[in-house]
Amino acid sequence: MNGVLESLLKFILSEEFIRAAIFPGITFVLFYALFTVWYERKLLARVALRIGPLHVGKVAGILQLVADAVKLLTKEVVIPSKSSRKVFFISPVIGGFIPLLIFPFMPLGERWVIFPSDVSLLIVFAVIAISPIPFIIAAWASRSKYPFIGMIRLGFQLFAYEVPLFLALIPVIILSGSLDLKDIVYAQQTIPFILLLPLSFIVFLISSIAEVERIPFDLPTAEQELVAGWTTEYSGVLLEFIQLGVYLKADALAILTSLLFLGGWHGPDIPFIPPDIEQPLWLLLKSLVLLSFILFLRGVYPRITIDRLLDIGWRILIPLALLNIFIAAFLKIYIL
Amino acid sequence: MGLSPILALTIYVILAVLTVVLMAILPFILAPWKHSIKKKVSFECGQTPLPSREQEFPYEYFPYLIAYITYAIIGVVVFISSITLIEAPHLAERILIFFGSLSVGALFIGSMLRGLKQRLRYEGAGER
Repeated sequence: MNGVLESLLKFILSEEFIRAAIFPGITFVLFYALFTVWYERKLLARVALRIGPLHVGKVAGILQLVADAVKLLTKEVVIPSKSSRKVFFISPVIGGFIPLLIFPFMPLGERWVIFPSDVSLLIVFAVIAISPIPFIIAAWASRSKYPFIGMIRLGFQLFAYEVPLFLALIPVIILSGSLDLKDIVYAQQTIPFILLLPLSFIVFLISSIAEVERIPFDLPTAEQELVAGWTTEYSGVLLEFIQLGVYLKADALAILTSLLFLGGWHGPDIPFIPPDIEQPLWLLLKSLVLLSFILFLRGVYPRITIDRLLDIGWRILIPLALLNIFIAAFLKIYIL
Repeated sequence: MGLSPILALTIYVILAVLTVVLMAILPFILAPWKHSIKKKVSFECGQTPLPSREQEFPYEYFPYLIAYITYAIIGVVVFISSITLIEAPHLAERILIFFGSLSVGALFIGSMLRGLKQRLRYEGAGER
């Protein structure tokens, strides 16, 4: 019995388990998603000259999130009678799970990666690309008019912005000469790619905002027009899965943008802090700045119309992304 | 690559699956269940629910569909070309000409398609 306990303890204290379960593993990922929700509420409250969550929990209403999560977890699962029942239930569950698979491949420091891979950038992009599909299916399974219109908008928006999102990655691959996110960060040791590829950064950031359906690109869930768009029929834990998926993807894209364009974990040395702590600190700080910008837009921008949205995606961002690939190739061949 | 990263990834995936499954089954254990037909009616914004019927949905986005297919293929070709640029530097100038032509072409098309909007066709009312 003691032998079994000892082995179990050894397994729990092993580096693999700590990485997978604590940092940069599942605990960190879920807490970061929770933090983002709280941070958004506080930030938007400040923008609107309000206080935001205050009473639940001693520090800045931090436990309001826990209260909300528990409320959603303990609500009855209501499945509309007209819906496709099994698909209606399973799709958001898968939609909440898939974005969790982005994080094992993203390094938060030289040491802090769960699964290092030579093609980590491609894997991360592939997971990001498939992540909206369960949500489109979930909306279809609702068989209701508001989700249906939201689904069509979601489909068109994602198709329009995934192409520039992918094209904006290519200049980074050309300049770094690698598909490994670690190598991409090492390539930015002296100059972060935002200075060499500002157009690419702008295209990637705008496409990311559209990918996570944030204002001004929140047409699929446009509250004032479509009740809650493709999520209208969802409540309780299924709505929680949808929210989890959306926030996890926003977090992942903020970290990915920091890795690709803002120099990743490189930053000035902080005295008395070892590099293993300093690196994730810099990276998370950079991603928090980006996240603040993405969340801030909700407080200050109106929603754009669908024709404008498609126009920006197809007519402006894609040609800009292609032009930037040419610039990156020129820099690589003749200057760098 | 040693076993360590694969083990870490396996543990991560197992924990992620467990988290999701636990969240999914928790309401079935904790939530009060009160059967009601009204709860299961689709949301209609306070209106009387409409019965099911088939109706043409007037969305026409074919220009965008064609644009998507075209650019998706171009995206793959550009990706392969960029990898070639890294792997075979002696072909760099040809690839640069290819990228340049694509950029000029895309900018030209972008400027030509100004005002390309969604086209909504209403049955019996023609095209607007």
